[in-house]
Amino acid sequence: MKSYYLRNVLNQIIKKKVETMIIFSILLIMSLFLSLIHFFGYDDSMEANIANTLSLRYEIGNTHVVGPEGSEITLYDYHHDYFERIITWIEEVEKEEEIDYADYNIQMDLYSGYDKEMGFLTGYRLFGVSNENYLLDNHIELVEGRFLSQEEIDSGVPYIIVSNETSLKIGDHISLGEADDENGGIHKDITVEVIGIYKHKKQSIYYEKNDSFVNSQGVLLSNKILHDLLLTKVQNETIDSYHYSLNHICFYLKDYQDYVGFQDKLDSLIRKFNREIEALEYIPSNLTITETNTGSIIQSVMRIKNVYQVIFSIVFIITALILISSIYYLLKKKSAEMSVYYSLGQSKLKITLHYALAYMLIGVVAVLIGIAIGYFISNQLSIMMLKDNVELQSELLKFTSTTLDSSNINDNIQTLSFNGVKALYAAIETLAVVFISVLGSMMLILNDRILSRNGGWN
Amino acid sequence: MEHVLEVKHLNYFYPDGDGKRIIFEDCNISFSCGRFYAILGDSGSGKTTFLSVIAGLDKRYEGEVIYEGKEIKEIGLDKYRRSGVSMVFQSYNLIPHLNAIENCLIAMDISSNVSFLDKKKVVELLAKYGIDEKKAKRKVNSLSGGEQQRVAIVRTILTESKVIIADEPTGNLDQTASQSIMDAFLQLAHEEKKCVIMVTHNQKLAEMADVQLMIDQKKMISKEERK
Repeated sequence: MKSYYLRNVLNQIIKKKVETMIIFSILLIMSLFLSLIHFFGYDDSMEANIANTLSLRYEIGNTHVVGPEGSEITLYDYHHDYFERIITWIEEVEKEEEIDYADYNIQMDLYSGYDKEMGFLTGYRLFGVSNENYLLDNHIELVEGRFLSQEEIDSGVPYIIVSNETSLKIGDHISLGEADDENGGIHKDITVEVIGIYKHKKQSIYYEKNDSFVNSQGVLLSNKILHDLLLTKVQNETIDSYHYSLNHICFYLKDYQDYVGFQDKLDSLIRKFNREIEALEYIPSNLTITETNTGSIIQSVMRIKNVYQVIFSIVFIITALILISSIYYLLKKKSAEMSVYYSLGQSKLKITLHYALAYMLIGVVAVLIGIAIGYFISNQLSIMMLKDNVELQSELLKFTSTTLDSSNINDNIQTLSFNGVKALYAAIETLAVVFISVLGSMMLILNDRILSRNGGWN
Repeated sequence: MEHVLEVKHLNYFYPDGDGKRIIFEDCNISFSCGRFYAILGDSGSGKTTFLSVIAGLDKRYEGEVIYEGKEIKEIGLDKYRRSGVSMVFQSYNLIPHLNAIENCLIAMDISSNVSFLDKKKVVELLAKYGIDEKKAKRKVNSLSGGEQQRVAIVRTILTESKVIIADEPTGNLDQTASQSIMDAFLQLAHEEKKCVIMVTHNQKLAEMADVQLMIDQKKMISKEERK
């Protein structure tokens, strides 16, 4: 080998086993905690993923519309006014700068469907959508065909998407109408065409085994169709809340990190809405929009993560201090060795680089292993945290008849924590601590007096 | 005889409280190749300081240290140490976790003496100085003191520097080992035409040198010249 410099650096690592193991162990621990800080901390993609997994930023409802008992107000007035006011309010909130889009579902229950082949079908639940992304993003996936475009949703084209558990096929036309028990048939209201078949994403909080608004017999269609249908029907018929409701009002933030800040704003908007509702004499004052507890899952997870982050940060700082002290101590012990290099004519810079390079090589190996372990631990902790919260929140959600199915959340989290950029940050920071420690130590050690003394001159 | 190393008007002092302790004051001395110099002096007289200055390890001096006609600070102290001067210490100053061959190769690499970066030649030279290949492949700290010092001498030879500075090189050795080291220095001076400058307390060893120098009244003076 022409240059002995690099070989000597390797000698430093290989032949000084105890020293190498000390530095390696400290660096391993340090990089492990630093990687955990990163995974739990500054880069919040994990929260984003959790939020996405839960399909929830804000949810208001479940606002079953119940007509006032003994009220002199006609149900038509009541429903019409209430629906219109809520929808207007949703549209106003949607215009807030933090909001990406809003969605809500006009839901009609106990509807029946009829097609030529199957004859009489009952138990469909019509589920309205306002946004082309909402369901596909969060709750369902298409098995066949396509979803409604935003244009079709807005204009109310009579297309429907049906569950893959039905026998309906793409291109089928069915008539939807309210069951007419008295006359033993259905009242035909609207003919729609099947353009897509969907199946549930099981991790959706809206996935329900028994009773769901997107259940096996759910029919998805434009909110506008349902809205128009409602307005038509209420002019002529008596309707009640068991047939019609406005559910799952959701606001999706552009940046989920606005969650906490926007909460205050939303509270204020809700209070304003409630005041307006209460001011209307014919609307019962106990009809209010309340925020469900589901949104607090993210907050809760974030709180726990912050605690973890503080703990990891403290451990990291302590480990870093131990590392710095160790490097200084080990290098100081080598001052005699350095003086040999110095007396042989090696510059202080080259001597510094010699030890920096040796420690950095140890550091690279330690950091890679530390980050790999950190990745594994962060995933396990994420799952633990979320499981706890999911169990807690599922209790809170019972009033909405919604059950969290967390079994597949784990699968999503498994893939969410590791991020190359975060790993790179952790590696760079750990190695930077090593480099700065070596540099600082060498500045203290490499002065002429110490080198001369250790060179054996005294 | 042409001087390879000259010290001119050397002034050196240590800060001592508010004042200063003067070690050298207008000290002048010259060294030539092919000569073996021994410097004698009491403890604290400044022998170590003198060696530090002429070895390019201590730059806090006033005056001039001239190597082959050029002030060593102008040459660059790192470069001067790399190629102009090499040192042998009382405590050998070898890299303890390396073997004799590796110690030599490092020195050659640092001094950029590529012509010698040949392991075989290193082994041959070590053998010439009594370190056989088997010993040469052992960690240096497993060798005896005399053997370690001979490795250090071989290291200085391999760097091909003209000036060899030795600080009490026999201080840790028995009489036989000391004699072999002195023989090596004499050989380097007389046959290899090196300028060997040695500090010692031992009057007998000093008498083996060509020139005996003493530090007296903050100056370096020649005690006698044999040849």
